[in-house]
This record gives sequence, structure tokens and C-alpha cells, in this order.
Amino acid sequence: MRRYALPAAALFLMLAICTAAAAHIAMRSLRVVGAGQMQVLGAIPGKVGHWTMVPMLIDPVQPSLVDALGQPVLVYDRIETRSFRRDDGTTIMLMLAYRRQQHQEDRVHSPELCYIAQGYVLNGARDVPIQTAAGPISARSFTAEGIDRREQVLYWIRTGDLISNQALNVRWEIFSEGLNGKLLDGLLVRASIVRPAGQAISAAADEKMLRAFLTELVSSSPSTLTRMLMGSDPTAT
Amino acid sequence: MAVSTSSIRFPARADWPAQIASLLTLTGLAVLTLPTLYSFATIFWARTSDTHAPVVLAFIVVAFWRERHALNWSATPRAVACAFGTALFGAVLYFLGRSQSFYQLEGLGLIIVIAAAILLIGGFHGLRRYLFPCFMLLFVIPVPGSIADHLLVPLKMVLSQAVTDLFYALGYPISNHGVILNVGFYQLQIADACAGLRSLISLSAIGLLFVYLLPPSRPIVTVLLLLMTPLLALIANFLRVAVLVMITYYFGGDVGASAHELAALSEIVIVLAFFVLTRLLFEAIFGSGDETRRA
Repeated sequence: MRRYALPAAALFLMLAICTAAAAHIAMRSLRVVGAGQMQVLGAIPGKVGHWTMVPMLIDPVQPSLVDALGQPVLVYDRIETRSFRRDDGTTIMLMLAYRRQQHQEDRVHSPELCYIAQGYVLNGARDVPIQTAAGPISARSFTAEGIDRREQVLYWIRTGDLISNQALNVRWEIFSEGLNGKLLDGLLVRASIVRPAGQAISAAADEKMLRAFLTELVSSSPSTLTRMLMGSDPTAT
Repeated sequence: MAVSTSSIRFPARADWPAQIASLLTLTGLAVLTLPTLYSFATIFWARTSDTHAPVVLAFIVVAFWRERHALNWSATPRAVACAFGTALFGAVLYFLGRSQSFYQLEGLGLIIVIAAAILLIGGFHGLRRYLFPCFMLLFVIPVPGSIADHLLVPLKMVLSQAVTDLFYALGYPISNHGVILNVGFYQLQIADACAGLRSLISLSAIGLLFVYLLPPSRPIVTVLLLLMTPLLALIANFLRVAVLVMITYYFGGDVGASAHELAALSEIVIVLAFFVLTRLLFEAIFGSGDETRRA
């Protein structure tokens, strides 16, 4: 009965070694595929529709999570923040946070988590589809209540050519493209309006302004930046 | 308690082909397990101090060791064929998971390969004995970040509010906005580590293993202990945050920050103490039934 032991064990060991080696080789052979050069993110237009770029006056909420000790952990390769103002004084903060490589566990995360980590209370989270000149975007909006301010946020997350906030969709995209040998990049596009607590303007009105702004942003951007914001042309192969 | 002498040695002393075979199989498992454990340790267990997965692993190793007499190279040909089929399937999952940095898939594949090795050496009989310890290995696989994050948010909010309410009622100057607590002159944050979803999972696993390794002789005690496990884990978690708040208030923010590590370690000691005390309590209430003790 024990005669099978040695050959069986030898076969098992070979299987284990082959698997470990194959996994190692496959992991090393993944190529990074980005939607463009990181520097392109600096080419944000100075005028977007009725909105003009102005110096930043408010601290934007950092796109970071916190580690075990409560220290912020920034995970992005490049972050660009801009402030835009309209004639009536309303100011929009725009943030582009870029990651060169998206992995299952290490990737662009939704801003909701960052706001919560920094002490905000969220409500009114919902999906907001946006129609732009370059195609549709599935964005998400929420209201963040701070101690003395209210911030209306509208954002989308691009992973490779997919724009989605659903963890399952994003994970599947990373996995299936990974099987093709590609490592995808990712971008968070986040626009927000900050109001002192107690101002009369409704969250819905702010959300409308943010939608219009982001639509204008895509239209006014050079094509290299648009490709960064939204991924490759969906009609191309 | 009677123990058959033939089951003590693994395998029989003079049977060197079987011993070498066992060594080869162990080496094969090590080739797959060690890189995986290294990844888990550096990416999950070192970054957040709220997981007790290494302790769960230690208990599972004890459980594996206890059943080792079933591993005596006694599998039927059918079991051997099943074992290799299973090993192949597990190896594919492991390959996909590891090459794509998809740690949960890698862990699942590894567990299947381990089960296949047990099937190869111990046959279906051995696999049956190892079913529970193999199942517990699932608790060692790190929870995916995205799932953990979304489950943690309501947990952190509730914990933050509960701690604030408690200390405010006790007369401390404390307030909170979301997950940030203001206590005295300092600010404390209910980070992911504090509201340990991962530690809740680990602690529940430890509770299960505790009952498995030292089974109470009365079934009602077993059931009660199992029901109490998540509750005890939650209480330990709450106490951990409460202690951190106290330390921060009395000794300052710096001391509070460095106490995080200590709090994680002490949490597990506290929970184990809870388990033992609760079990003693239940056995005192329901009787330990010495005369019906299982062998």
C-alpha cells in the first residue's frame, strides 16, 4: 500500500515547483499600459466654460487613507489640484490623482473613504451619469458634512479604459487585462464645491454645477488630457 | 484516555521510503506556502496591526499536528487520482492568483493544494479528519480591502459614537465628528485598525479553534461558547478603543499613538482570557459532566 508513496510525492513536488516558477515568470512579464504620460495631467486648461483658474485658497481633502497608527498614506504617483472660480464667486476644486499601476489590493480608492477617515459624515451618495463630448461617464456624487463646512463632491475613477466605481467591475477588469499581460493605470477625477455650514444653496444645485463643470472640462481639454481622463476612444479597437 | 501506540509515530520508524515521501511532499507545500505567507505578512499583517491571523495560523498548526497519525500513506488508488486532480485545480488557482497579485485567489488555491496533499497521504479517511482545520485556513486569507472598507464604515461610526457617549457620560471632555474623536486637548482617530473587522474575524476563528481543540463535554456549553464568540470579540474591540482614549487623555497623543501596537497584542490576551473565563462559568452552571467526558 505504501509503494506509491515515493513516486507520488516526487510528482507532487514537481507540480509545486512548476506552479511556483510559472507564477513567478508570469508575474514578472506583466507590461504597464498607461493612457498617456503622467505629465499630461499638468495640461489642465486655465479656462473651463465660465470658470477661470484661480490660486488655491482652501485646503483640499487629501486623497489618502490612514494606516494602523492613524497616519495618512498617500498612494498616488501624481496629484494635480486646481481651483476654478465663476463670476458669482462660486469656487470649484478640481483634483486629479493618478496611479501608474492598479493592483487588486493597491489601487485608486473611492474618495468617500478618505473623507470619512478625515472626520466627515457622508450622506446622499448616488450614481450620476454624465454625458460628455467624448462619451458617457458613470460618476458618483455625495455630500460631506464637516465640522464647519459642507462639501459637495462629484467624481469618477478610471481604471485602464473602464470608468467604474464598482469594486467588482474594477477588480474583474484588472484581472482580465492582467491575463493578457497588461498592468493598467488609474485616475481619480474629483470636483467639489465647499460651502460654509448653513449656506442656503442646496446640495442638488451644487451637484448640477459640478456636472456642468466636468462636462466642460472634457470639452476644453487637449486630446492627450481627455485620453487620460476617460481612457482610449471606446469606438477604437 | 487510550491512545493506540501505532498512531504515535509518523510514519513507522523503519519505513524510510514513506518518510522521504513525506519530506518531499512537505517540501512541495513549502515551495508554495512560504512565498504566499511572505506576501500576506508584508502586505496585510505588517501594515495593519488589527489582524491576529498569525495566532489563528498557530492554532491551526496545532490542530494539524494533532491529526497527524492519519497521514500514514494509506490512500486508495482512487484517492490518489482524486488528489492529483485536486492538486492540479488548486495549482491553477494559485498560479492565477499569484501572478495577478490576487491574494485571495492565491490563498484559496493554496488551501486546495494542501487538501490535495492530505488526500494523497491520508486518503479519504485522512481528509475527513482534516476537514475542519483546512476549513479554518480560510480565516487566514486576508479580507479584500474593498469589502473590508465598506463593512468597516458603519462599524467605525457606531464604535466612535458609542465610545464618545460612554466617556461623556463618565464626565470626560469628549466629542466626536464622524470617526475623529476630540478628547481633552488631543485628537484621536478610529482608524481601520481600531475598528478591527479583520481582528473580529481572527478572534472568531480563534474562538472556533478553541472549542475544537478543547471540546467541552456538554454540547450546550459548546453552543453557548460559539454564540458568545463574536460578542466577546466585539466587546474586546470596544475595550481596546476605550483604553486608547483613556491613555490619550491622561498621557497625551504621542503615548496614545504608540499604544496602538500594545493594544493589538493585549486584545488577543484579553479575548483568550474571556474565552477561558466564560467557559469555566458555563461549565460551572451546566456541570462539566466528568463521567461522560469524550476520549
